[in-house]
Amino acid sequence: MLAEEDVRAGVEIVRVETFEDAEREHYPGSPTILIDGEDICPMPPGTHYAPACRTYVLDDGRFSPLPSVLMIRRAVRAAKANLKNPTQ
Amino acid sequence: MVELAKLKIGDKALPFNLPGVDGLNQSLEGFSGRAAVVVIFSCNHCPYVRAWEDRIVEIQKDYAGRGVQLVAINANDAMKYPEDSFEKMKQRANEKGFNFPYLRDESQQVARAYGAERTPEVFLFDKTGTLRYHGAIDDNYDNPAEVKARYLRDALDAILTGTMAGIQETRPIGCTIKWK
Repeated sequence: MLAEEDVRAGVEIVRVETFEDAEREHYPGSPTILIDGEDICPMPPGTHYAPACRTYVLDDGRFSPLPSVLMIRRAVRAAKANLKNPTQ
Repeated sequence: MVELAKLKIGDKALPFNLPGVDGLNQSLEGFSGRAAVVVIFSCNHCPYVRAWEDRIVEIQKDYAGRGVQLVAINANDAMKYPEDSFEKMKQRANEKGFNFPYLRDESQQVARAYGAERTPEVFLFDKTGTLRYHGAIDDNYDNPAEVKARYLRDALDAILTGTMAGIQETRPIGCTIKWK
């Protein structure tokens, strides 16, 4: 997808295996995708950090253990736009 | 054959007596006389459960008139996963309009006895209390419109017509039960 969006970026996979890891990383569950440190689906304040599965709500309201491709693509495009227009 | 729960197809159901979100304790014996009892190890926080939740409610609704009783049991460690606390279970049952008992297995003894490992994980017993199907609800947690194999419904239909389910065991798909 990064290639499709003409984005050259490194991808780092971080293993979160303990509650201590989860607290340190502010990790609400697997998978969590950060772009430039920002969660592609920001969680509300008070979110419990734990080495657990994560629930995503898809655009049509379905619950899923994974974000949709569209959700990830939107976040990549937003990050790319933000780099081009850093003051916006 | 996949390597699955302690309870095997043909085994008898194991008794339980657990508190429900409606304030009443429910025991397996309390469902005697039903054409089938479906025990589903479930929880609040698992996205796979959430994806299947409406279908579970629909199955109970569709089969209630034919003597089928669903029971959901949450054995997750609520200290580490507060979303699975008894209070949160009550909230979820109300929000989703659960039409079946939602029980708390605080000691996790029932889940361990059954050998459940995932949420959701189905154990379907016939009227004699014999395990007739174990595994997933259907073959597509992600999209109900794309389900091709309705494992639980097919097994229920088989029981209710006095035949054997074509598929008696599948691998449960979901989060692991959060053990203490």
